[in-house]
Amino acid sequence: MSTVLELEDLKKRYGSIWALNGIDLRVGKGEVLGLLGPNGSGKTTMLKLISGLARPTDGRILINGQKPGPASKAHMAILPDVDHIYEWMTVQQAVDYVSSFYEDFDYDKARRLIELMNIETDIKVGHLSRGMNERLKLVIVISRNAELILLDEPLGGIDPTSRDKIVHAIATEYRWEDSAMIIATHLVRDIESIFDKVLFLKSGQIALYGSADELREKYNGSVEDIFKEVFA
Amino acid sequence: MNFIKLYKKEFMKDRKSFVITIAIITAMMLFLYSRTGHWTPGLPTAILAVAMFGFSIAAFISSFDCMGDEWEHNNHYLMLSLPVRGRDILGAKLAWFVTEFGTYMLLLGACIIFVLLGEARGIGTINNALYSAITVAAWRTYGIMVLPVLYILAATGMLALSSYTVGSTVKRFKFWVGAISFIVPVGLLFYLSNKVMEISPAWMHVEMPLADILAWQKIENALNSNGVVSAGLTSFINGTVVGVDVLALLIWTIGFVGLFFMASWLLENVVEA
Repeated sequence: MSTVLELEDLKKRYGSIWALNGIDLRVGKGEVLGLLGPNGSGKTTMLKLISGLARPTDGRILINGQKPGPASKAHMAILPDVDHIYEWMTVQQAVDYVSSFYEDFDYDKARRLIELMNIETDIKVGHLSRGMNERLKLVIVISRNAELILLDEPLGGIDPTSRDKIVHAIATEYRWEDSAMIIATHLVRDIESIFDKVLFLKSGQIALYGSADELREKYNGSVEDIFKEVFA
Repeated sequence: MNFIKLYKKEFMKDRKSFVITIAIITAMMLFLYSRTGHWTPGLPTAILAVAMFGFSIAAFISSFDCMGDEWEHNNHYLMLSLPVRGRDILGAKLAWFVTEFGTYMLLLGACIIFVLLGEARGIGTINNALYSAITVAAWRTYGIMVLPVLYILAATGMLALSSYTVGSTVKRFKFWVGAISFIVPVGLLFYLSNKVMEISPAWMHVEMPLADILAWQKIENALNSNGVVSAGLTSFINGTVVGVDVLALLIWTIGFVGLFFMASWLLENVVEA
């Protein structure tokens, strides 16, 4: 399996606080990594560093052998944990605007996802509910056949009844088989079925890392149970 | 190509307010034009001049909003995640800023001249020859002011974009870092351009007689035929030149462009979401 993402001794400091401290990681093509940890553990910081939205204090990040920058961003899709899409745009304008920058954007997939998520395309983004905004963000990210997809709390604003449907959509029919995916979340139960590997972050350091199935076997429980044990 | 997509986005964001503002300026001009001869002479023109001043202030404030809006609504996450160069992002913002406020300023300038000429026509002592001379002078002045207005707007935009970007590189004291990065380059460029003007050769100093700009000969002839020419005014206008030192202008331009590219680099390599 070829490596899409490589982190080497990655460190990030804000003032006197180390948000990340010495992370080493490799993510291969087709892999889904669950990035788990409580609030403030460094999940968002790690995704920001990988996506080029923040700069490391020390260490190295390589995405397909490239450092984060305009070139690597063309092959990477990120869903941040904030509502980042222009409120004055309609849903259709937002999709058209973002898609115009990426060669890997799949319009057919976007149309099907918009239908699946029940999003009206002529409504302004600013008029969408929190949940609908989350869905739109997901549509924009998942519609791309990007080599690396980063999702920061993708289920945060989505009601529990829709979560299964959306998780299923992300994990199966709408996922590009070659893309590596990192999903940062603390809503482990709803999404753990799609993880190939899991990484538990605690105070900016790796507390536990391994194959999801092997860890379930070793700890004789679900990933959520392991989460509770690690962060108890 | 990315520049065009980003520029189109800037246009789409402001297109409604842009059209409405143009409509308001035009309506205001038509209204004030209709008031010439009814109101105190000079008042309609003065109102438009005040509006012009207001737009200058608005342009200055707006130049910071170009970037500030992105941060205020978390849109910088999207902006910074796009596979585009910093210079494309800043260039599109700058180009739209100059387009938007350049249109307002030039339209307002044209409105001022229309209303001014409308008022001049109503003054009994101005005959056809003098009116025609004033018309030429007014439009010549307007034509000469187009480039400086666009230059000043572009310079303001580059300064504001660069200082906002520098301010965005820190987590605390953003305002002060931004303010310092606005004031210091201006001060430095003032100092350098003054020094350069001291050593600048004479041929670098381009001058244009005010009498030529105002087509003074035509006005003087018309005034002579009216018998109201003032010798003091003639000697003042004939002795005044409007000049620019090319070397000093070059220093300012290099400074602004340098700030722009520094900000582009910071946006790509230092600024964080």
